[in-house]
Amino acid sequence: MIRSEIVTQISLFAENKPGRMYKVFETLMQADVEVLAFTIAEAGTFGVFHMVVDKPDEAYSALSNAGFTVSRTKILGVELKSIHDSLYWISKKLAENDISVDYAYTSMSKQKNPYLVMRVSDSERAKQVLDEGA
Amino acid sequence: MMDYWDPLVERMPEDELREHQSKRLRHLVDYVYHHSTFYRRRLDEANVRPEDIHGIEDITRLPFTTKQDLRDTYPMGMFCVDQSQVVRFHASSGTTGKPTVVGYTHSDLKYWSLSLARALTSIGCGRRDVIQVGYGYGLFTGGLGLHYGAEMIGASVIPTSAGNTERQIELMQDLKTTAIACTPSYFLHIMEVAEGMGVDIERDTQLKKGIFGAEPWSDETRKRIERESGIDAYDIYGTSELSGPLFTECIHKCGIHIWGDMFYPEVIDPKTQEPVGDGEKGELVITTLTKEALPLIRYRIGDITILESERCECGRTHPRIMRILGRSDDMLVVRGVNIFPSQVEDVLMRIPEVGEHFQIIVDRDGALDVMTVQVEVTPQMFSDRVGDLMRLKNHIAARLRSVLNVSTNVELVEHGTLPRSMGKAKKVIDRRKNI
Repeated sequence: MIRSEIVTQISLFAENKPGRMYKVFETLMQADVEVLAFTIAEAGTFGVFHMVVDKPDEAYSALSNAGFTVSRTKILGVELKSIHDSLYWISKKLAENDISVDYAYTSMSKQKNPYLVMRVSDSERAKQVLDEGA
Repeated sequence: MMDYWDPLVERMPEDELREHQSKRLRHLVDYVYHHSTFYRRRLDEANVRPEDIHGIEDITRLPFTTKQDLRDTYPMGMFCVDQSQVVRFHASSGTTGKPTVVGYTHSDLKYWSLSLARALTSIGCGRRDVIQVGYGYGLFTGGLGLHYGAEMIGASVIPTSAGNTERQIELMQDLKTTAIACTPSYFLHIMEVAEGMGVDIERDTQLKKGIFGAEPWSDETRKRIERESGIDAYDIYGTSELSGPLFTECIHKCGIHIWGDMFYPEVIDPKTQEPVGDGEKGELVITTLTKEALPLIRYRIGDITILESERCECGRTHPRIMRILGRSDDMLVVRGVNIFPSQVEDVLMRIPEVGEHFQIIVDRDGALDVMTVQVEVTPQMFSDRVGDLMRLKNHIAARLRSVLNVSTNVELVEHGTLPRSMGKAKKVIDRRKNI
């Protein structure tokens, strides 16, 4: 049994040097924003942070004001019963429907169930497909 | 409706202008020969006597002067007047060795202002304008130069100098500034700060014109400034050795008018020192025809440009120089290829997502030169997909490579990390000198 939703993801650009990750989380801490899921995509001299937070708008302004280049993206979030079966099933559904996955990461397990965040070629259709299958 | 400050002089027929220049050159050579031991020695070494100079065509018989001459004769060894005749000094910053000092008599200051009065009139400025002078005031010639030129045409001058940007923007709104004179990089900074203050330059101010110079900038930067702030941006040119800022484009924006009755421009091949033809790239050489305190004969400025003698659409007959392409000494030689920072700027400005802040770093890896261009990531450029950023980075590198003929690393850096400049932007860091 899975439950999928469209959530706002916060992404930001950071150079790959000491203290940048600290600056990000210090900023979020001061803005009283809770991070639910998070990853860094690395590309040599820089990285792109992705995160799902409880208050995306506050996070966006706090990080922008701290000087970061930030963007908001609508993205697919899926709550899973069990990682093992669900990953198999979700990827099968997406493949059958010709939906590709750009990147994905899982939650910090704040909630009871594991949570999967995915940037796919068509979030709306992916949600529809998963909801029907569920 | 085209306005002229000195209509008779500015539209003087070309042959009359040449006659005028010939007369002034004869007088100049005679004057320096009898008023300066430096020049007398120079002319004697070149085997030229004042009476050998009959007309402007004889100018090529005269020896060149250079910045090194000004340094060698520091502070006043090239002056043709003594201190009692000097009413002002300016001095260059002297970042590379000794500073250079320029002195002005009353007459020198009058001609300097006159040159700018003509220039400001040619871009449509006049008594109804409020001109904010955001060039530095002090030893640098930009602030005071523009100041007196703008006063001569009867404009209202706000001497803000550079810096204190929020205050500049408040004054711009309160005093209804219509024209601003500053470096292009400082104006880009003003645009950034205004945006942060919630001030839309196009909507919330009366600003219509910008007079930008004192550092190289490209036509692409002009387009960007004009597009994003709604003003007309004009190029201004001059050097401290010649006086300071002196010449601008007219409203047609097709080259900078050099007032031929005061200054005689030549463009030479820096290697052979032979004059190049109209429309050919070379080093600008200028002879001052009216200066008293520190006249310069065939002064090699070191700026690379193109000379255009065709009459301008505006009716002015005086020669024009095209936008400065770089400096012979700004020129970077990377793996044996000549590169001007302005070329890099030009490439970047043609890529819509790229912002105006960049820096060039040249380093050496073993025996190889390595050039890196750092570009700040703008919101327009940022994507949550690393692949998009890498594609853009590769696109920038490919464009640079095709224009410069040297492969270049491109490094994306965080917004706000590259130095913002109030004066001349420091765009190049050459680490090879430390090896």
